[in-house]
Amino acid sequence: MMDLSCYLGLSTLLFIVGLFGALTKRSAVVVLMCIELMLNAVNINLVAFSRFLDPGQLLGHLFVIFTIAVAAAEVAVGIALVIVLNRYRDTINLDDFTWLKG
Amino acid sequence: MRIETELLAWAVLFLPLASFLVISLVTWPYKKVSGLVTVTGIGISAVLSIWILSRIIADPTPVSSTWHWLTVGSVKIDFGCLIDPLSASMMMAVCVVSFLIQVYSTAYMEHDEGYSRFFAFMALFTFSMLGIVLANNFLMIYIFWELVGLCSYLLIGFWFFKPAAAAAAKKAFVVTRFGDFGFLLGILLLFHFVGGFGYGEIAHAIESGYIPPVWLTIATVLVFCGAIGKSAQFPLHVWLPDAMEGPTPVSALIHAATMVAAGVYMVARTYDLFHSSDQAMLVVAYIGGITAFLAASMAVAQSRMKRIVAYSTCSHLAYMMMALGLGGYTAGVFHLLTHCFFKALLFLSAGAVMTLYFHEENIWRMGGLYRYMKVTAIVMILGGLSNAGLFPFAGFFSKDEILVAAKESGHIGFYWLGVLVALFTAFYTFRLIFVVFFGPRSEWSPVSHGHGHDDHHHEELPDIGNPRPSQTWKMQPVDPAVRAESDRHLRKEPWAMIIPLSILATAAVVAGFVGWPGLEHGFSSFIFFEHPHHVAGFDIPTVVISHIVLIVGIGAAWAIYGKRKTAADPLSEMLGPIYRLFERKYYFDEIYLWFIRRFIDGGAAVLAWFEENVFTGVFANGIGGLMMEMGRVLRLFQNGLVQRYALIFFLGVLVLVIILIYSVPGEVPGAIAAIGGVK
Amino acid sequence: MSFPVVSATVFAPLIGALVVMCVPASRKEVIRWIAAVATGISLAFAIYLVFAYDLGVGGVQFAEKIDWFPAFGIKYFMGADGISVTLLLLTAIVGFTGVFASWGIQNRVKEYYITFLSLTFACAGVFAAFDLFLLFVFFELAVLPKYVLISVWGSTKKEYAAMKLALYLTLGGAITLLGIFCLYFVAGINTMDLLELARHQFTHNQQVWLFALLTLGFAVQVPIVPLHSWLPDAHTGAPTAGSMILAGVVMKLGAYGIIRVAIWLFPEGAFAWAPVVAILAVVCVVYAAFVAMGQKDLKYMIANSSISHMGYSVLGIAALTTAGLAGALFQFFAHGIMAALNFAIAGMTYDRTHTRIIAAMGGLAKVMPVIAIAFAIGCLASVGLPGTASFWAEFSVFVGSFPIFPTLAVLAISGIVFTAYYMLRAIQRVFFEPLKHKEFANLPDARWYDWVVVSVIIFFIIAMGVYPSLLMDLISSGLSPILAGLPEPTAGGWLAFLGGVQ
Repeated sequence: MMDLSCYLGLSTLLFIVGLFGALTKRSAVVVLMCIELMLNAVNINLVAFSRFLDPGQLLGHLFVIFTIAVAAAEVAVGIALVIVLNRYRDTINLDDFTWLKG
Repeated sequence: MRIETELLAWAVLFLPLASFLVISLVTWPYKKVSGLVTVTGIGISAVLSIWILSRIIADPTPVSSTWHWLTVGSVKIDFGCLIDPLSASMMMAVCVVSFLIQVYSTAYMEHDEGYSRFFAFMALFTFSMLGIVLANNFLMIYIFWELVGLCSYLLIGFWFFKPAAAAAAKKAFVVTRFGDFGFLLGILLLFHFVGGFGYGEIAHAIESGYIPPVWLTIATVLVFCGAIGKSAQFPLHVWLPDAMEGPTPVSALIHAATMVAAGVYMVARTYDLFHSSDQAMLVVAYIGGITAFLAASMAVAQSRMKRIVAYSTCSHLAYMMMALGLGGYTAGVFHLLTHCFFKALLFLSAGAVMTLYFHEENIWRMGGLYRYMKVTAIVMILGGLSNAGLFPFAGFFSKDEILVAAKESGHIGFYWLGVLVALFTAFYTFRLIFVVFFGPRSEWSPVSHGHGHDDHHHEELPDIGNPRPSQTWKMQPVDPAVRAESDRHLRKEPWAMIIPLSILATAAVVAGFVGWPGLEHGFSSFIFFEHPHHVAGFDIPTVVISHIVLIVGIGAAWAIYGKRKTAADPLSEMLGPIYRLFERKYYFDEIYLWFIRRFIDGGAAVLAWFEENVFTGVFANGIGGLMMEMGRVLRLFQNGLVQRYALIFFLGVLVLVIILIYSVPGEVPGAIAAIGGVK
Repeated sequence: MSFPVVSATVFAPLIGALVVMCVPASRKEVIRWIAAVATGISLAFAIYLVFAYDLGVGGVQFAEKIDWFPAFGIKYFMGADGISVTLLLLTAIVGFTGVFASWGIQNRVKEYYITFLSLTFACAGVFAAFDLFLLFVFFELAVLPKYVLISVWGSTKKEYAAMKLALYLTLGGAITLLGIFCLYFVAGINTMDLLELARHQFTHNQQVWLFALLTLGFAVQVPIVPLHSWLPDAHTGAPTAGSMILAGVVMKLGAYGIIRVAIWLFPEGAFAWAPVVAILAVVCVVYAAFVAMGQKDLKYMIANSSISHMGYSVLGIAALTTAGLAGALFQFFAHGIMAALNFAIAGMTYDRTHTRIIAAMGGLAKVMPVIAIAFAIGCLASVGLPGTASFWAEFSVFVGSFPIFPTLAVLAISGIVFTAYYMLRAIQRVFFEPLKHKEFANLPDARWYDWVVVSVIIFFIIAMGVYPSLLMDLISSGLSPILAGLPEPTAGGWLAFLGGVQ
């Protein structure tokens, strides 16, 4: 029998992988992918909690669908940004962009 | 159909306001029409006011009418009028004098480009003054009091492009405002105890003893502060001479006949209040006595025609105050009314002299003018005799009544003070008349450079003050031939001046007869406080004394000035430093100016500096600077690398989670609650 | 549901701003007229409200209630009681005349009017909101356009002034927000509806501290003296219409907040703090009057005089009597239009002479008589002359506060002399005396749009001076629920040693 902790373990693993990637990878595309991994880790959590702690209710599932929709939108914007950046600077190496410094 | 008296009174009050509105909204581009509007409006008011007075004489029961104006919380404010013998007489005096002065002004202001503006302001002034006269409560009198101050400001500053006029206007407003500050406090204090503003309510409260005597005295003295300011009494008298920078009709109407009389009128109107506090009455008497003497002595050493008359006004008003303060209610009010006429007459004739004489004001540039302006000279001498109080001129009756009142009150010091002031009055009045109209023509008289009656072509001559006989060699005399040529251009008085002057002169001569002592239905049985003040006949010793001082005064003036050979003041060397003290007005202006410069302007400069440097510099910019410093430190964390930001963010979340976990389970963690968590 | 008059009054300028957004920036005249029409509609509705408000019924009328965030009890609750009606009228007048006062602006006209109209909208919203959260939203919405107005279209030290304003006001806003959250949780009835909150009984301690917190936040906006440093710079740096709305309306937002939120919800707290507030008020009156007296710049002088005049309002508020509060609110209106007029005139003279230094002008009355007359009326209104609206405001404040704080009231009343002194001196130096510079001899007098500004404002100054009942009755009716919660006022309190009248 798979219990809640198995799912939580999986999602934690996934989240850490995503976080590590997001914080260390140079390529903007890879960072975006890592962010998706983190979102999916959250999704697993949500479904798992929904199934085990609140059976019969679909609230967690609902949120997951919401997250997926938002994530899709976010990727669309993110990819668009990456393309624009590439067009400007001919690179997508994040260390080359320090514009936030102002 | 009988028209209600109060309806007539409202008409009297609002006709001048209507004139003001019509001029300022419609007819201002058309000079003649504007003048006509004011003259008509005030003329009708004058007729109606005489009608009202005749009704009140027939039936002296007070009439009043009230509209509700405003309610704020428990404060009810009414707009109402009270017509009794006092207000009816005063209303008549205001309207008639104002009307005559408007007629006179049509000639006096003829060539002024601000003609419409002048008549608009004059109408507004008349409205405000009538408001004071008709008011039936303290708030309303205060409102019109302020409006009168505004009109005075506007009219003194009528020639605003002259620096002296602009400064004088401001001075008048601010100085009287100082008195009004006390007035307002007095009204608030009375309101606090009485709960209403009406004269009747307050009289009732005094009678019932609702007001503790100490506070009653304080409130009364505070209210009197308003009168001190408006009636130019010591120590706030300094604005009145400067106010002579306005056009002469303004000086005549506002700064002689009516507005400055408002203070005296107010004391008479609210005599219930004053009468209830002996200390307050004494304050009134002392202020009056001091001012009467100060002003009369200053008038002795002035060189400018209108200023002499202005100090005379100041002194006469103080006389009335003294009378009121000593319990001579009827005497004070009587002098108020007669003074209206003869002082307006003096001012208007002075104005006539100036208009005809190239707008020159210094009496030492005149001399021997009798030949050129006989009508003016005669009416001015009549006014002067009335001012000095010769039998049977109007001034005689009212002034003697004041002296008698002072005698009856038991304050014999005030009686002799009054006599002394009468001596000064006779002297300075005839000093003015002798220097201006008689003796030789001044060696430094102004000369017309234009032809015919064009009085705009004259040069501004330097102010020569009172020339000292020993110093006149320094001054450049005018060539006698040029002077004679210029004299041929002297104008004759226009009819618009002669008629008002003659009417006022008649009044100045005969108005006193209503107060003939012992008269059955005379003035004293018409206007009185509590019970009629019946006098059996003349008080012979007083009459004799006042005529002795009158003759001494006029004789001294004749001896000193009548036979003078040169246009210089011999008195200046006879009196020496005392003369200088009189001439410089006891240095009041200098002292006040020093005080204002030092404390008010100085304080303002210090605080402005404080605000700019200490407050803004240290307080506001200091805090800003602190923020900047913090920013400089925090900036080290900002390197623009997104991933580094994300790392810091993640670490922050981690810390929070750890706190959450290690808090006591089952309760809301304290640390979380501290940053605004849920319950 | 009937026509939402209140919302229409508030939103008309915003709709105007939206319409302006759709117009090409080159069509300046069209943009100006759209702004004029939008604010004109707002003014028309505001006047309608004044006459349509039923004094016999009282309370909040024309209410519009829509759930917004039901979870937190937040509603879109707009309405008007007597106070709101008065202040909406004020906002509408200042907004309308502000549009005309800005007619001469040539730089980025489109953006200018969008900003100005949004500011008007936000200010009006504050006065009509009866939901605490909504009120706060409008309150904060007003900050941003002010910042933009000053930093883009301002003059002298504009960046500094704009930044200072934004920092001070957001700081005040933050404190207010904290106060609002505290009171929301302390009340614990899950509502932001002011009417419901007013019915809730807070304990004495809660009242004392919540009142302090909220009043501190609002005091920045009034401003009360130690927190006033942003105001002179902002008023002076702002463009003409910006100064008008800053002095005319924005200064009132804070004081309005004190009455509407702090005093209404926490009467006992108000009572406890009243002496402190009263002392600060008198410091405002006298200190600012002296600072104004020492200024060389016309706009700085008027700005400081505004602080002084708002001091009267605060004194009236501190008195916590009907007359005091009514006077304070009437002063909002009276000072609002009068300050708008004074700033408009300062702007007009600046546009012509290109100086604001008082000593550099002189004799302008001969050149521009209409402007001179308007300025004289504005100054006389600040002096509190009878016949102008300010007289009733000041008088009412004095009547209301004199029995409670006699000594302080006397000090405050002495302000009437100082005000007269510096105001008349300003007239004398700017407009009277001989013309100082020959190059000023041919300056134009008021243009038609200047005429609109001065005639509309002067009309209201005089009309309310002659017929004050119109607004005073509205204000009194609006005050009755607020006063109902107050303890019986007594003279002195712990200030009795300063000299109470029996």
